[in-house]
Amino acid sequence: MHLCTPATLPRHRALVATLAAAAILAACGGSKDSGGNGPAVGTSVSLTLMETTDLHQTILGYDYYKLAADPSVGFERTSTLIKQVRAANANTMLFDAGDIIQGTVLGDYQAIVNKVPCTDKLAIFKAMDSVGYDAGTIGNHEFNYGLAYLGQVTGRQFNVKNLPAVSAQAKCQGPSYPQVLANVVSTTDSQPIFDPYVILTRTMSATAPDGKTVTVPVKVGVIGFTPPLIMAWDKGNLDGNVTTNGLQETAAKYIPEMKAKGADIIVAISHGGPDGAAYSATMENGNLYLAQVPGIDVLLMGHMHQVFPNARSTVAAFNIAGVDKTAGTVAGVPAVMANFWGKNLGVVNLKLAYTANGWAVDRTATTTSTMSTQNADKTYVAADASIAPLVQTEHTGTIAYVKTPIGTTDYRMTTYFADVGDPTAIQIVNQAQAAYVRNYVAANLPQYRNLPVLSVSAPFKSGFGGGTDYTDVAGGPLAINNAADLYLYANTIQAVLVTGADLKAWLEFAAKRFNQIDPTLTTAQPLVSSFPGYNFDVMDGEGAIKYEIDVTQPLGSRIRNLTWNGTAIDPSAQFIVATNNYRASGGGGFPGLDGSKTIYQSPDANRDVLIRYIKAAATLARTTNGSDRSWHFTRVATAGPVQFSSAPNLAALAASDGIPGVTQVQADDGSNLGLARYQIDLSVQ
Amino acid sequence: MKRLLAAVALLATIAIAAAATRPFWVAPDAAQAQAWLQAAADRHDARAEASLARWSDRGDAQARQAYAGLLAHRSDAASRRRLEKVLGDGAEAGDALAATQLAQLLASASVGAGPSTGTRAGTGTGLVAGAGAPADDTRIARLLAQGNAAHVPAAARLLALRVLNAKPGASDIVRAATLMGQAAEGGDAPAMFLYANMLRAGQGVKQDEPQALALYQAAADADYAPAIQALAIAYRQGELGLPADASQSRLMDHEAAEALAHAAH
Repeated sequence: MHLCTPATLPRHRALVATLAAAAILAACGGSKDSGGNGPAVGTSVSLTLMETTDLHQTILGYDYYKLAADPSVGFERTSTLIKQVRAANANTMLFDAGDIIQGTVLGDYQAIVNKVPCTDKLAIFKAMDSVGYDAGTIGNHEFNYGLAYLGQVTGRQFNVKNLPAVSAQAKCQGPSYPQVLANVVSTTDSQPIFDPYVILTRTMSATAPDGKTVTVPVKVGVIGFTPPLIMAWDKGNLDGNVTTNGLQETAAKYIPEMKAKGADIIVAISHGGPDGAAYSATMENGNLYLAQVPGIDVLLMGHMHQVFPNARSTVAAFNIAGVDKTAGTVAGVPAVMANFWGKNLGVVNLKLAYTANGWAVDRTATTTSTMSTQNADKTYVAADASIAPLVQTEHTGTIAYVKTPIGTTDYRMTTYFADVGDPTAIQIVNQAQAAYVRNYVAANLPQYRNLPVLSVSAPFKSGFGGGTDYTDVAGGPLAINNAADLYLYANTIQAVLVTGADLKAWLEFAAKRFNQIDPTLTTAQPLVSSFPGYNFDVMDGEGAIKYEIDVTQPLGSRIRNLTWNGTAIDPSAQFIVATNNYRASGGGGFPGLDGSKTIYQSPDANRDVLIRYIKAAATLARTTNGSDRSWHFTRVATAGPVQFSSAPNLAALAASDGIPGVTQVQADDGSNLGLARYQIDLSVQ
Repeated sequence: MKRLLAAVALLATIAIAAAATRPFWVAPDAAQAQAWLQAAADRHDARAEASLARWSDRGDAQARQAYAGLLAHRSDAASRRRLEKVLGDGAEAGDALAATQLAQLLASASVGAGPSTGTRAGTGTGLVAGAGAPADDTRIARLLAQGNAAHVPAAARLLALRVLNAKPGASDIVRAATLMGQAAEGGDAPAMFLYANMLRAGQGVKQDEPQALALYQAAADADYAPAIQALAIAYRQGELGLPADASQSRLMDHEAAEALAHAAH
């Protein structure tokens, strides 16, 4: 617990290490004030503490779904900031506030797909160790992959019920820095599963009262906390194995103990934020109350994915009594929160003064701030070139995984012409959603077993960002990143129970995508309105749902010949519609969709359901998965052209996708977005 | 004497709670003991559940919430009936939150079954019904009126939805918006989201995108996933006065996934 070993030294600072070794020996065997050899009263130390938090295995500035660089995130740039701070300050320490091992495809790859071996260190820890951390805590997401995996990658052997006896567990590679967590306790032995705290002795450059520079030992106690709600969030992994204790009670227990063991200052790393609600031992963000426990000198926060301090923050938790978002204090304690994915670095500058009672923090001289990897001109700091080579194997492995075929398709799946009825990228999503909901209803909702399960999905990428902002999956092998192209957002599946009248209202609302076309006008008319493509829900699903959109009619009167299996839909008939949580909860403002019609809230993501469906199907065929024209425009001859924009030179694709009458009239529609102008002959639809 | 008995009962229950879960000394107050009892009962500790039920039956509103939260997580018919009884007793005793929850329970029973959304803050009343008896519309209206009179924000939201979803001709969009605005003002996250949608569309209220954005952000702060998703879309498309920022959109999408994962428990 009280780590009196050289392993606790920051490995990157050899010069300091030599000095520190002597100090540690003294600290381990000696008393707090070091007798007559201690610093003179009035000696002062400037100490800079740095914080990273919520790194979520975001090591490189890279988007694994897009398979493209993304400089806005990644520890490789945080590392640059860390080195800047170290270069500018004599005494620095670096801490991490948790949520390290999960959150990117790389995290899943190492935990599930190609499990990191016991003998290897997790990629993020390789990167963090190369920079050198002094200590860190454990976030709620560390528990996502289960206790066995957490124990492995942190180099711990947990004494918990669902794992073998400690003596039978291998001691695997963990990070080189100590990880502390005080409020998660094994039900087996009632002991914290990590060391609750550590006391680090660091030799620091100080200024003696006579102005001379001297070196002094300072003992920094570090204690860690995670949200007690992990018991709900990861119930399956944790129930019966561990319990959590409240932040305030836990701190009240350990901090006096840390003080008694000689800690000069106390750093609390708490993976959470503040919350003005009444204190509870199970509250998610208990830091307002944790900070009130006597003895805490610095609070390093996380979990909320926010920047603190931040005078302009509108985040409710930073605008409550006891939290000073400008000064950067919580209950008067200096505090920081360094955003997430390595975007920011938290910095606390402390002034310590040696008094007759030992080291004391001068709060009037303390400052807190965060540094951003983004410069004022919106560019980003350079990446630390030493990081990428450390994780090259894992990085390339993850890319290979993302490119691993999950199936094949015999047709090109795109949204270039979704506005005029192309189903190639939408039908498969609707099929996957409908099948998933059908299975659930059959197994769990017998009262609805006889109702048809329909589905809606929209072209999420429909040219807003220009000619490249469309879904476009080539024929051939399908990989995970293609599924992300087919389903853009992290929605979850929901099913709603609606009537035939509701269906019509739903489709009428979606038909706002189109302007009202006057067939007598001889001038060109734009087909597509400003109503966003992501709200242009296309309905499909079990049986044959068919409808027409008559764009010559005003809003609310455009859906014609709405039939199911060839019969006009009775306004009072009931249907189940598979959709996503956003739409079912009222997203987009569709009539009647406000959360009150939901009959099933699935925890599964639409994208994952799609991936599973493709895996099960193995081969997608145009005839089966990409040619069902559930809707088409009502035929009408127009005196003038009806036009719309899409990526250039694709009229032949429209024809091959079964959309007649589409011709390109201008290779550049004048938007400067790489879009061409097309026209559609509504008389042949 | 009555007060003394109540105190003894409270201490006894705390002791049971502590014994069932963790050391006694860490039980800071009755609410905490109730939370622990709820957690223990959730792990099928019959003794803990019985204690929580007794505490609830004695009329303690906090215990009622803890017990109702426990029952709402279960899908069996007996728990559903018990939940209705507990909330009904609470409503009778003047507990406006229980009245609102019961109204939601009855209303959703008329729609169908759904798993509980849990009792996380920001998700309205925290209760979603399982399948049950056909709803008593008059009773639902009365219960919501009780909740709304006591300014339970979710009651105003549910009343707003009733107005919105009334039969054609009976719908009063301005009244619905007013009620939804009240619910949003009261801090109900789903109402903030729905009212933001109304403000954005100018539905029953003057169109006001800046206020809609502020409400989406407030609901997102409360971890309400649809609001975070609205922001993810808005950043991608450059809507609501936000700059088009694909990176920020991706970050919000990640936030939404996290909020959804939390809400699933």
